[in-house]
Amino acid sequence: MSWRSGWLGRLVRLFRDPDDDLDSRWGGERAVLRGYGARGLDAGYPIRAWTEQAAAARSQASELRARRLLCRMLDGEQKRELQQHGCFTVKVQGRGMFCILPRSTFNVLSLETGAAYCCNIEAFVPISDLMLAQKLLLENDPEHFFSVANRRSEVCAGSWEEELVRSLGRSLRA
Amino acid sequence: MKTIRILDSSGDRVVEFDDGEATTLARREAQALFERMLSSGSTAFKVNRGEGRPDEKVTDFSALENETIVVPRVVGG
Repeated sequence: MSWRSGWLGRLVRLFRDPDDDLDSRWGGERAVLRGYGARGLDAGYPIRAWTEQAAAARSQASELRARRLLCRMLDGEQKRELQQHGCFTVKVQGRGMFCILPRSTFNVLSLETGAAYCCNIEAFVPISDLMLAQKLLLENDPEHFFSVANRRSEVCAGSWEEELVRSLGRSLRA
Repeated sequence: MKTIRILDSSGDRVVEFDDGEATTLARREAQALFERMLSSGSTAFKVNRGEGRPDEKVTDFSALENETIVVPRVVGG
């Protein structure tokens, strides 16, 4: 099957010609988008579901709910770190300390090696849910986390994060 | 009452059930959901276990305690 008849071809056609009909297999609940650049565009269900879930995961209500759950699951020290720095540390048996940052990619940093790990949930979830999932995996199923996560050995954090890691390192050594 | 929290775009979805006769249907539905999630690559953890017991990974529905968090399938980013 060529790419022109596959999902990529449909996506290309969708952007080139918004009036082009989408694959009938996407049928079901279809929404008509209105506004500039979407004249009568028939948005297929998968795209609508994808954008709705992405928007929900980024909404304040979702993040607030996820943050409450995360705070309930952290121990006292982790909660203090989260309130003070916006991130928290996790001790992993045999691998040392890791810092979980509030962002969606390469947000798990080894405080021993400086390596950054990226392990995401396949579904759309708020950032606090992602941080909670990473904490649970690192503390209770680290083999799974490290077998899945992509690793960057170079420091890829910005200056704010580098300073944060340095200050966490200092407070951990103190 | 036992609680399963499935992380999702709204924060989390809550499924509640207990071992009483009156909630057999709810328990069956919770078990079916739990097993479906795990077979699709999700991971479940027993949390808030009380008496200072640490969180623990769980794969057996009958071993669930008061609160369980289900993390959907994770992938390398």
